[in-house]
Parts: sequence; C-alpha cells; structure tokens
Amino acid sequence: MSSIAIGASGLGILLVLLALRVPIALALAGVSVAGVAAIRGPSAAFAVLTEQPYNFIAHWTLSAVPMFLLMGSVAYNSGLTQSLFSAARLWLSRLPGGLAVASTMASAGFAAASGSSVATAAAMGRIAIPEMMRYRYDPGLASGSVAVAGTLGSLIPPSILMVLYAIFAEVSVSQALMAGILPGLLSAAMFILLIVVRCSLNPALAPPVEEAVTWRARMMILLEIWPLPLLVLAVIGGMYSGIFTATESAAGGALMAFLIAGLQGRLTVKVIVHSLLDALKGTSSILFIAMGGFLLARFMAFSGLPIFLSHVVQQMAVDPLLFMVGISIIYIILGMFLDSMGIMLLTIPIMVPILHTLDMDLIWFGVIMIKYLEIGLITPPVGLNCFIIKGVVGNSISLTTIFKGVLWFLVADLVTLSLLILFPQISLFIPTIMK
Amino acid sequence: MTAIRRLIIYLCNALMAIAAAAMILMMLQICADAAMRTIASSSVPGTLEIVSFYYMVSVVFLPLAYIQLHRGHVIIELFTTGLSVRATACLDGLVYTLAGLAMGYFTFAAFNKAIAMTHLGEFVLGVILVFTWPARWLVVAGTGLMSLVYALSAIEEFTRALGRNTPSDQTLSSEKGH
Repeated sequence: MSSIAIGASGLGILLVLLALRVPIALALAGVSVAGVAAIRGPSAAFAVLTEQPYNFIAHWTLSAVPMFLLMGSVAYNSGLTQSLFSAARLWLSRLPGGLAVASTMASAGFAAASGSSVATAAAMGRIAIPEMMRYRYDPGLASGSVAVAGTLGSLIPPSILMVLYAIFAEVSVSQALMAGILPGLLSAAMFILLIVVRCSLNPALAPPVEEAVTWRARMMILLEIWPLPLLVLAVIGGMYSGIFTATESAAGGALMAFLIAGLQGRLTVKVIVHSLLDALKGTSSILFIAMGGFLLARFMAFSGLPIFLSHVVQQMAVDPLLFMVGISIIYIILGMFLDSMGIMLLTIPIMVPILHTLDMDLIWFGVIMIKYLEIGLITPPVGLNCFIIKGVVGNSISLTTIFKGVLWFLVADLVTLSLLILFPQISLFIPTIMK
Repeated sequence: MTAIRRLIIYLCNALMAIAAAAMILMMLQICADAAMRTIASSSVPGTLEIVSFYYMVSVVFLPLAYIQLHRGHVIIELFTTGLSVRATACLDGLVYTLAGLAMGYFTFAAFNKAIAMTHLGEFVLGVILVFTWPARWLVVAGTGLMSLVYALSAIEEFTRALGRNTPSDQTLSSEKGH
C-alpha cells in the first residue's frame, strides 16, 4: 500500500474509532502512531511517541490555554459574570424580544472573559432562560437564542480554539485572537437583528416586559459589573498594543480576575478550588486532544496525503470561491457529527498546504473555520450547545424545540459567513493595524 | 479491589494538587516576568524554560488520570445511543482495555526517555541553566497512573456488563446525593 493510501485509510479508521466511543485524544494518537509504524517502521513510530508529545506540550505559546481557562473559571466561579444578564436586561428589556437581546449581549460579554462556547451557553442558559420562560417567551426563541449566543465564546477573544488554530497553522496567536473580534461582534449584531425583527413581526413570541426601570437602577448595575469590562480591555489591550504576548496577557488576566474577586470579598477557598479544578480539567483534556492532533499532523506529513491533495487542487485550477463553497459543505457535514476541536485538528494538517497553494490568508481562514465549528455546535444531530441547554432546562423544553429555535439563527449565521468570506477585511482589519 | 481503588483515587488527587500548584506558579511567574520586563527591562531568569518544561508538562499530564476517573475525556456518543446499558458497558470495557494498553505503551516510551535523560542529566541553557530531566518523570507519572485508571475502568465496565453494581456506581450516586 502506498503511503498516501495509508494516510487516507488512517483517516477512515479514525472516524470508525471515534464512532465506537474511543476517547478522541487516544483515537487521534493511536491511529497516528500505528500509521507512522506502517509507513516508516515500528522504531520510527516509537521514536515519534517518545519525542513528539513531550515536545508539543513543553511549549511556551501553548501556555496561553491554561491561563485563559483559569481567567474564565475564576471570573465565573467568583460570580464576576453573574450580573451581566441583569445589567443587559435593565438596559435592553424595552426592545422587542428584549430579554433575548439582553441574553445575547450578556453572552458576548461572557465570551470576552471565557474562551469556550460551551461554558458560555451553560452559564447564560442557567440565568437567562428561566427569566424568558417567566415572561412567557416562545420556548424555541428562549432556548435557541441562548444556545446560539453561546457560540460567540470561540470567536470573541479569548478563544481556546483560536489559540490552538494559530499554533497548528503557525500564525501569530495574538493576531489570530484579534481577528475574531469584529466577526464575533458581527455575529452578535446579526443575532440581535434577527430577534428584534422576528419579535416585531410576531409580538406573541416575546410578550413585552412591563416593568418600570429607573435610570438610577441602570447606573447602579453598571457599578456592579464594571470590573469585567476593565479585565477584558486590559487583556485585549495588552495583546493589541504588542506590549504583552498572548500568554502574558492571559496570565495577567487570570491574576486580575483573582485580585478583583479578592477585592470584592468573593475569593473563598471554595471559589479557588473550583476555579483551579475547572481550569485543570479543561487544560488537560483539551491539550491531550491537541497532542493527538499534533501526532496526526506528523502522520499526515509522513503519508504525503496533504501535499498530494494540494497538487490535485492546484491542477484542477479551482476557483478560490468555489473551493470555499466545497469547504463549507465539508465543514457543515463534519460539524453535524463531530466535536469541534476534533474537526479542527483533523482538517488543519490537510488544509494548510492547500491554503498555501491557493494563496489564502491563514488568519482569515481560521476565522471562517471557527465560524463553521460554531455552527457545528448548534446543528443536529450532535449540537453540543443545544445539549447543554437541554441539560439546563430539564423537561420544560424538548430538544426538538431547541433545535427548531436554533434554525432561524442558522440563517443569520449563513449571512454572517457569506459576509466574512466575501469581505476578508472584516477579519483582517484589526490584525493588520496591530503594532 | 476497594483498597486498590482507594489508593488510585488518592494518587489521582495528589497529582491534581501538584498540577494546581503548577497552575498558580505559572500565572505568578509569567506575570512577574512580564512586569519586570516592562518596568525594569529585566526578567525572571529561566521563566520560558520553567513554564514550558515544568508547569506546562504538570498541568497537562498530571490531571489525565483524575479526568478519566471521573470519565471526563471527550468521546462521541451519537453512534452508540441505541445500545443497551450492558452492551455499552461491554464496548466501553473493550475500549478502556485497549486504551489502558495504549497508555501503557506510551508510559513505556516515556519511561525509556526519562531513564536516558536522567543519566544524561538533560538541561537547557537560556539566561540560566535549567535542568529539565525531572520534567520527563512528570510525564511518566501522569501517563502511568492514567493506564492504571483505564485498567480499573475496564474492570468496572465489564462488571457492569455482567449486570453487577460497581464501586464507581456507588460513588456516582453518592456524589449526586450531595
């Protein structure tokens, strides 16, 4: 069997193993080591296993991941993000679908402290959905809007997926993170626009919230949440100005989150233990999978499959736009079944040589890829964010209702995606003006 | 069996505590280094090496076993949702057996490397000299314990497949009760 054929069969076997409940990290690593053994012999495979995982993990740039996770878990466990929804609600509840709009804004705010979409959906789901249900919002709108707004977590920096993408695609982590800001805000704006238009056309979806809100109350709540914007601006500002690396901004953000929680008297032993536990579980399981992905990239490089595919693409003289359409279909299908990090690690080694051939910007592509992965989080049958919301709401809303509620937002997401593909400047504007 | 299980749980928690310490130290040292550079154009010597080789290796490899103990490693469940509880347990038992063997092999590879590097006295030379060979043993500790947890998980799943209650069922239900 040629090495290209071994590479292709390896990918097939990998999908089978994933379907059979093999932990993603082990499936990636196992297939890769076996694949290298088949191409280069068992001693080469053993050498890969002794050297590569350690070299991959013992890596300075990668340390942005634990630090961002720590910052998010401290902000969450100490209650720093708790009042976001109340604040957004006091300011926005008069709009049509005001509570859903408020939950979207609050999610965007939460996303700026947390690097994970699932964490964003879980946190906002617990706070916002019960409120919307109390005001007799349409259950599909209430649950769908939160499931969808959770996906902002991986676009608005910090984003764990974006850090890993940047490391695997060998681009600047800070620039890649900054590239997510405008697309993240654009996505949020689209969601809000959709909610407002739908609720204006059909007020029954979201009965108006009749409550008198004083300006004093609006101002008071800002006093409660002010540390969060400060934290976010410090982290983003540090990276944007180039004074601090992504890792340093992340560590500084984590320390600031600890200090703010301490100054507010919320830093109990329980908060510290839970924050560390959450951050460690996230770091270890995410980077163990990333390590599997790194081994897969080695295996793919040995097999020559990515280079072969990029030659095929080159010979076919594919139009870049047509290529993007093809990629879209592949990512949407993969996203329906696989975990987002799995998809990313599976496809980066194959995509990067092709992107170089087509002379496409890797940072821009990273934004597009993450947007697809986010869509994968809300499409059936495997839509992790919808499952998370289902876990939060229990029996009061069915999974089908949640997926139906999400459908409308998928339309908004497709519009956003088309804009991001047609106008790469939306993603690349901030990275290019960075120092 | 219960004694072995208790010992494994104890070791998992111990490695988790070391990882937590590494996480805090990593945050403090990176901040101190960045502050020194910005304010005094100086640095905390060896930050890059210590963060990369000690803290990163600790926070990634040491929690692996603890996570598996709580079944926290990500799997895809979609294609096996139709299986009965016992069939799923049987499949998981098989998967964990293979996973235990694979992690055992990984541990063997890491152990070989650790022995070689310890003999060589592996170090990196940046601003200061940092010995890095002890970090190799962190990998051995993390993956070795994870192999043991997989073996334990496999036994528990096979017991469940045979229709009996396992200690982890009891822990899980008592955890839910809290």
